[in-house]
Amino acid sequence: MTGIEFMSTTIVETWKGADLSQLGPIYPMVGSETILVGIGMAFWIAFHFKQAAIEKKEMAADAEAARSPERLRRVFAGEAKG
Amino acid sequence: MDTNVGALTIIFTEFYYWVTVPMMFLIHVGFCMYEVGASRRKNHIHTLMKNTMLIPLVTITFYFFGWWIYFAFPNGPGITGGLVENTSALPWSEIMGTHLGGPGVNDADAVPLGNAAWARLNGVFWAAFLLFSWTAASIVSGATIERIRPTAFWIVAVLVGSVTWIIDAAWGWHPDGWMVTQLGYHDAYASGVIHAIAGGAALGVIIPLGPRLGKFAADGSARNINPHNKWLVTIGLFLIYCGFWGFYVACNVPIIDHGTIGGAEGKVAFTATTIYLTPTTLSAIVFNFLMSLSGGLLAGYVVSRGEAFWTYSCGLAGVIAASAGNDLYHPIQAMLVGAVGAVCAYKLHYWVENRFKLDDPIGAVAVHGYTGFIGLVIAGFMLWGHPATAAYHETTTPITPWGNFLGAVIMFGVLGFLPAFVVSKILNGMGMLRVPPAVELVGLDMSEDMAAEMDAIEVSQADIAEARRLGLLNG
Repeated sequence: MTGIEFMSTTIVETWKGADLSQLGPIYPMVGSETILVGIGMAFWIAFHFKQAAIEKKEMAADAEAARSPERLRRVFAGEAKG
Repeated sequence: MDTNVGALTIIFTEFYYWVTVPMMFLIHVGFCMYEVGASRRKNHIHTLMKNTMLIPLVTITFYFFGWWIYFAFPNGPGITGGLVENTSALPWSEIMGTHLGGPGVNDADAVPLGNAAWARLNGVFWAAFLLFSWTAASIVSGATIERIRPTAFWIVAVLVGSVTWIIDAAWGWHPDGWMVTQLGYHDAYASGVIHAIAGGAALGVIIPLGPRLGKFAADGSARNINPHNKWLVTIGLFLIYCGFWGFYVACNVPIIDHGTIGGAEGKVAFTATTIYLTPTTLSAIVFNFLMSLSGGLLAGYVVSRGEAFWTYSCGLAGVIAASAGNDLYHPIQAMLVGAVGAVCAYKLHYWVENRFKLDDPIGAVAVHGYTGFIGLVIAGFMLWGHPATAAYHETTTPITPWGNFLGAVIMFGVLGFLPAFVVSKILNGMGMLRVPPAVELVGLDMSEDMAAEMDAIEVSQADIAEARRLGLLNG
């Protein structure tokens, strides 16, 4: 309409007159699925490693807190109340 | 999608499964409430996050490989055949995303059923199965509260939620699964394929994990570590009941013409079926879910002397016990099976606790594992001779007591207990399974609690300074 050519990251450039029976995947960048799966799996594995490191630090902080008799007494007193 | 009836059938089926997903979400909300209520105050946040974070982990791994396992493993592989090829469930398939059903860009026709139908159903079907995965992993979560490391639990959650349970579904909860076609295994609403396997896995974890500190006295007698909030626990269980409606409905195929899957030739006969494509009705679910729940609640109230936690848990046990045959039972049979399951769950929980000194804080192994196992065995007797296989199979395989018993052993022992036990032993050997004793004593939320205390002190000091500036406080 304006003479400007539009591009699309999907296979659809306009819905006008579109024959849905001839349209398959309409997500962006069809053909990149294998790369996306690789990135996704790396994200998943990275979470486990990063989380394990965070947990290690937290456990150390909790264990340090447990060395305080006063804190332990407070925890046990709370526990006795239910 | 090229005829009105075909299009309506597909769109209705798509919507049907979609509705089950938010309903089943309630199961997870219930599990979280239940576990937090059952834990002590010093462990709340840890308990909540442990269960919550299994959602993303099981979701993404079920996308990466869980869904593929279901379609690839019905033959074992290696029992009745090899891996079954089904490209639509591979994570890089075009059909595993937004797809309108026409020809693919790089893969013209991704699935044997045709893109048109499967493009609409793949995602909702995947999600319905995924919500079962969360449930399976969440059952294990409850048994491990207050002493397991999140790192370890989340590895076990992925194992159960995205590997072992879906292998058992391919074997025993698939119209072509080898346990169905060879053993006549029948488990319509997942007594075994969800509950027995998850209960078995929970047992496999809590043995190497050990009991909570203080659970057993020096003479071996068990101490009661009571839920800090019974109200939260019971509302959580109520929510699980609500979510079970979605679970049951998702176990059915809502509409299919029986004539196209081996029924009477030339007769159009639309019906709902089980996952095995054997005819049933939604009325069967309504009758039998409610009657088995009632049987469990009534028996549970009596056997626990009206104790709230166990009465609710026994309601759940009642449904779980009857689930294997709830597509076919008479409602009164379902009620009685539910009552038997509830009594067995209660009695076995305390017998195992005292005999083997196992700490299962919420009774997950008993309610899901033992009851699921017993429910399968009962279904084998009750439904003896009824066809386990759908009409399109050349040979009809009947349901038998020995087929369902063997199936129960496979679900609880082979795919439930064994993998979880081995992985937990390895994690324990690496020092990754259990939190240090000092941390367990002071509470797993200690670092969060200390940070919150520091924040509160800081705010309080700022308020004091402001009050002094305004002349409200002197000195």
